[in-house]
Amino acid sequence: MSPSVTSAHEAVERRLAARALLANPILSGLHHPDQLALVRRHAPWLRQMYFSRTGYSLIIETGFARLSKAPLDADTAPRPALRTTGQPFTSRTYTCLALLCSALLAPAVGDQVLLSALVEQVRADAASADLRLSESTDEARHLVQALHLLIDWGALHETEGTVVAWGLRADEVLLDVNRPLLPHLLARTLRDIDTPATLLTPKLTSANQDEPRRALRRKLIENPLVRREDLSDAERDVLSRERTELTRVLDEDFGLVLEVRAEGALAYDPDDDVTDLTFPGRSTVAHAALLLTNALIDDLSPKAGQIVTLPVATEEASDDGFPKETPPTRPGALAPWSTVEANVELLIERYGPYFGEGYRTNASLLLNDTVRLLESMSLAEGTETGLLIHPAIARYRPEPQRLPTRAARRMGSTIDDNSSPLWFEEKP
Amino acid sequence: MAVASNGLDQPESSAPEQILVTGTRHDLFRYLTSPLAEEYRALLGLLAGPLLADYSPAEAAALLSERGHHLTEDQVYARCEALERWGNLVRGVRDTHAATIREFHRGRNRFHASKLGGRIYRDTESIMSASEGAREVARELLGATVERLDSILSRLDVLALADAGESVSALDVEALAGDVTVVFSNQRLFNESVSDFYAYLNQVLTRYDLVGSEYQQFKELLLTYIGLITADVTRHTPAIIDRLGQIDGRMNTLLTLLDTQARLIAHDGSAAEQQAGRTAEEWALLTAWYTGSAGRSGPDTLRAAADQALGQLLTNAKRMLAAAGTGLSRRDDLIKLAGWFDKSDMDTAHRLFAAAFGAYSSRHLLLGPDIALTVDGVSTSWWDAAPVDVPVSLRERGDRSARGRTSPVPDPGLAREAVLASARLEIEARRAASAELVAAGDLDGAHVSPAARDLVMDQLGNLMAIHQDLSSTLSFSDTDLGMVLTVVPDPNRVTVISASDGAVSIHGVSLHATPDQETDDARPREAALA
Repeated sequence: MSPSVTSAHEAVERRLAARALLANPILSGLHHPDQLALVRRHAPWLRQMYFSRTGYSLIIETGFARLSKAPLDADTAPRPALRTTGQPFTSRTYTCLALLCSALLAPAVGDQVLLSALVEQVRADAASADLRLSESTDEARHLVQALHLLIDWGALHETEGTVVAWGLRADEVLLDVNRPLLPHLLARTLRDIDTPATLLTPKLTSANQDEPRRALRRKLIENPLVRREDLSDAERDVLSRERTELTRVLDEDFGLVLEVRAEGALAYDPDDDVTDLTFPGRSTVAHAALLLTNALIDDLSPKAGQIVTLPVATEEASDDGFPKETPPTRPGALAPWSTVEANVELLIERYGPYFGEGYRTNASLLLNDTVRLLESMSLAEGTETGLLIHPAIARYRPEPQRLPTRAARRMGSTIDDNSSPLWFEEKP
Repeated sequence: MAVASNGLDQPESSAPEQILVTGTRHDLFRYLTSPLAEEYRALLGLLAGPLLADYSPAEAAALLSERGHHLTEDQVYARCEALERWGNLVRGVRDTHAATIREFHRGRNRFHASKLGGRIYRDTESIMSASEGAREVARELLGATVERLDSILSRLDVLALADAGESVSALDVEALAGDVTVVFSNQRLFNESVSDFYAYLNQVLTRYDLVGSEYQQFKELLLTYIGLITADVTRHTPAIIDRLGQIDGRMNTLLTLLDTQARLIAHDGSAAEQQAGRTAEEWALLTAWYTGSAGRSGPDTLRAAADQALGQLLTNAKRMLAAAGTGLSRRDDLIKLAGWFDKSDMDTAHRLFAAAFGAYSSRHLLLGPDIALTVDGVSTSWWDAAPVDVPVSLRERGDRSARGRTSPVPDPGLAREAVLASARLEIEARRAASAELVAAGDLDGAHVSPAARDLVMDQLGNLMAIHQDLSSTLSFSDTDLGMVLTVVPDPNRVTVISASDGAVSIHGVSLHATPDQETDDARPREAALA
């Protein structure tokens, strides 16, 4: 084998390993043995690469790899943990998750633990933190969901019995604890952080001149879309000056393709797997979202440079001496809710047979889920007056053939109905 | 089970667990688990504490109130009665001359601790006041034991000499007895302190949360202290075994001498409880502790315990390294975080989760041109840029998989048959062509079918490829077709092969086709096989 073939092969492996970590920052050998093997093979390179490119720290052990990601910016779509049903966690589930993690770190917990004992420790911890934790089945459901996430992460493993059975019938479960992983579940220490707000506002470290580069790379690597107006001046500068280098880095290290347009930038994934949500994708909601935005683009026929002014909450616009804030503006097009609703109904009429059971009859559910998907992909934003769609959605706009509007369809059917008795027209 | 047959009529002792065992020494411990244990302990502290205390309930009540326990005389009396029933107290009678009936009653009711009651009280209190921490091992006792054993031996020498002549000096025997008692009580003390120490170590080492300075401390404790003990034991053991061996040889003398001491004999003729070291069995046990003649020796046990403790220390160190010493602080962090989650709305909770755990997946849009298009630049609006090619199945049906029924799986047998048949046809055609050539013999001027002509060209091509310079007669035999093609170089010859679609002229050679003998032989076999 020639050296060039080997190095090309190496590069492919490194990229696969880097991508695996992006999709699963807690990569467990239990669930992803092949990917972990790749990560371990290229450990030094990956550690160095992640640190220099993004500032992320990477811990690689025998049974797991842990990439500690930075907090997300406030202007990006939230990234909730998902329940087994695909629904996002609630605050309560997160509370249970944090309590479970702390209970697992309790002195009495060894390499194995009985779930009942673990839950007792959770209750003790909850009491010490002044939290109410009832013994209702609802509470058990939250605990089960949090346990599922820990099992997904490889922190726990069901040795005998299942967490589900515990939730339903309080059956005992013997759990294996991945103790080496436990201290790494939290990505950062909270010792010096007193309020949640401090945790959510990332520190501005302007001292490091590489910071805007890393920040921009992180944004592009983690998010489906980076709006130009959300970038800092330094980041915008990096984007315009070092685009070639950025394109190379994203492609070589992560297999992502950079696309920069007037309204922002995005790195899309041609291989479809470094993402937790797929759009465009197969589900009814993804399908409907694609069709809905297509229809909206047709209806609105937006132009380049089109700006929408977002309404400001009324109480803020009081005249108490402060200069009135200029209302935020966004590039994009605003579709009134009535238009959106009409289009969703039209979609059900036209594409209903392809849609999932629950959505065929429930237009408002389909509308809600569709808007939520578009919001989580940063492609649209629900406002008071309507749905604001971002220009990036135009990537998926349809070929010139378009859906006939309702009016056109009605016209068409009228003509059809009247077509056979033509002589009526001729009647004087 | 002796229940209620004992005539226990006190209401406080009517609970079933309180009367399970009665009339035995178990009763002596009863006061410790009673709800009134503190009062009982205070009372026993009075009566069993100082030497020969003997109080009436009234005196006891007064003394108790000085110590913060306010009990009436009647209450004290009731407690004393209970303790008497359990065997902890004994009613003492002192001859007093009473002036009143009341005084007479009081005078008759004086209590003091029983022998076992006092002992239990002292043991209990020493356990109650013992610290949770480590207890030092009385390792200095090992050296002392050697000295005492030496002294016993020298005294035996002296006494043996004296024995020969005059009577034994009572004083020397007493000193000997003292030495023996010291040896045995030292041994007991050493044993106790060692087992205390290891019990403490085990208790500490089973904890998972040793971190930082605490761990450092225990590590030193283990490495230095265990080392010391083991070294001391190892150093003194041979000396002790040696002395014990010498004493063993003169055991009879020793025991006889000790026996000459005044013994306490109870009224019923039985001997009172003796100090240790007065029987041969006790000496044998002591020797066995050092030599291991009765199972595992003490020093060995100590060494094994040290090994076990060190192993546990290693396990802890490993766990600590794995946890990077963050266990405790992370626990606090997580509990704090749980509180934050509890108070936040959904969106904040999602963001807190992402920020604290940093374990979210990357999210990306899918589909795009395979090669970045250069037509649309950075200043092009997305509204104007070329759209991405979305697969029709995805746009129309939300589906990327192939649609429709699965096509039938072709039967490979039929395909194989077809391939074989065509191969057979092909070879037959070639054989027919070769037969045609063989029939013609000299190919110059031969009129053959186009297939036969093509066959000649093929074969000639193969031949020329192998033999590039035609200098001598060559022949090429094709066993498959059963034909030998002979090429004779002849610069003046032109071989012309004509066919229905034209003629071929080959300059400089003459060509002959002859049947291949070997193939002709082989063919019938082949036919038979088929």
